[in-house]
Amino acid sequence: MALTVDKLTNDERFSGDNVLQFLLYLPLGLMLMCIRIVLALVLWIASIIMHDKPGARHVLSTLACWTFGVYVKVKGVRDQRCSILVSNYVSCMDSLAATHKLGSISLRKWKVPPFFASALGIKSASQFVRKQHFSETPSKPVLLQPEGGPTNSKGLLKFTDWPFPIGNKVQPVAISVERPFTNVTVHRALDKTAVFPWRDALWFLMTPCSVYTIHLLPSLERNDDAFVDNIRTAIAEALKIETTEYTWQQLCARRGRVTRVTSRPPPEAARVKEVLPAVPLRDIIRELEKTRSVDVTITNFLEGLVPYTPEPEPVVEPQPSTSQAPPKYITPAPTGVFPKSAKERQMSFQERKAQMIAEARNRYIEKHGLNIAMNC
Amino acid sequence: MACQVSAAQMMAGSALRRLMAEYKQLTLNPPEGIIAGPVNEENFFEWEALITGPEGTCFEGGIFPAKLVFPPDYPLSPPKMQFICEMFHPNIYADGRVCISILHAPGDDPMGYESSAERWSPVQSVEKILLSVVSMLAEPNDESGANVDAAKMWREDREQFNKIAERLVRKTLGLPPPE
Repeated sequence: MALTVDKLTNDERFSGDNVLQFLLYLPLGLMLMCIRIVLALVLWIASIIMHDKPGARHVLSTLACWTFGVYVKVKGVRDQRCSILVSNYVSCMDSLAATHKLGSISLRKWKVPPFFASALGIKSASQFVRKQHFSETPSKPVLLQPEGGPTNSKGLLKFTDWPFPIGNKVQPVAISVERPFTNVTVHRALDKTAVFPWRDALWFLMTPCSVYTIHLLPSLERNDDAFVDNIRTAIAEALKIETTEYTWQQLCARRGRVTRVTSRPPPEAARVKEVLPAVPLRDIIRELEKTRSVDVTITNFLEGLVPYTPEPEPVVEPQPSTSQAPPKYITPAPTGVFPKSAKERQMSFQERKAQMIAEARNRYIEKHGLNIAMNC
Repeated sequence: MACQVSAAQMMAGSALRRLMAEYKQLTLNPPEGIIAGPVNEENFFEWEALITGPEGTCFEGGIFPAKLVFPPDYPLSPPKMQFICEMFHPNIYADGRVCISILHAPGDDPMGYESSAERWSPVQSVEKILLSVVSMLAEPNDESGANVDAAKMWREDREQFNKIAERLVRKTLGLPPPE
């Protein structure tokens, strides 16, 4: 059965057996949530008191695990020679589960309070400097989840979100999560990657327990171009799921949510835009709707068959020039024509090259009063 | 597998179209002192460019030939540029390779030394590269030393540097070195 994009996330938050069960559980869940919120306060205070104390990290992550009801099982052996772990993405608490058992940090675009970030084992992706991290804390591996966003683990998304080039050796990790007794989705497809999914976190507070299984797979070494594919395959095999050709962006786009955030153009339009940056996107999309072909669209714009108003290009000054007057150059005589045949073009190019050198030569001789002009 | 091949071909196809568009633009509307185009149209991914040494600088009057090699996924990745004449400049390696930020993709510089605004991106073009190279000839950046000797001489012994530049200028024009 083909796995389509919409099967990779769960729409229903609560897909339990019936609503009655959920309603019966609700008071219990709310009570649990209250207790957990108190625990979260304890966690906050503890993190202030124990800030930067040795051993604090483990205590804090344990407290955070209690708060969110995260229980972690580890399978396999951690390869200490690998400082980069690559795993699939199942929920916003993946980083907590991993930091609790493996002491890793994960890179996220979320803006969360610092204490919360350190308890969950996350670091702001924008502030992460690889060299600095490994020189300060070489023992802390970095967990990368290049899928870009959480799925329900029915298929593995394409890897796209690499914050930095990975080295030659990584340890793949397969993460799976289940919630005993209740059947609550652990994540919701997000439309904002920069915001911590507070709603997901609230569901974590309400459910009795979420059991994570972290399966450490044998480390892989880069030996050919298929390195990334090998990592993906290893994770997919460990989870017994298939690898899909979908990306996180497609997943979001299918849900009709991403447009407002990134307004990512369709891939065909993006390809035309890459070739012709000056053509406005809406003209490209309009033309693509007509032609349904990237190549035909490009040709039509290039040949001037479709009018468009060129977009002002972002000005990139090569270098700030100083107060000097702009330097003057020898201008090669523009031919004003662009011959149709390759042969003619080549001839014209050769001619112009020779002409340019000859002109420059004469000019130089004239300027410096050399008397070798006669020699040639 | 077949899918990958066709993807690569498609990529090269759009690279070709874009290069053709740029070639046309450069031919019909050349920037001052610059011409560029494919050496042989059977291989559209290898170009030659002639760059005039900017006036009022030590490279004034010279016509410097350079080779541009484009990757199949151009304009996603930048071309490589290498002077094919003898050069002596702080930002040009001894073998002629040019070291300027516009020729580097944003991911290439782990130190964050160059800001990504001046890096390669598909909105850049051959023309912009060549204009950047002209500015580079006019105003060397002696902080990024592709040629350490040249950078040192540029800083400390400008007279000697100018002499070498004059010899190179004459060489590109097929003139004998000054006495």
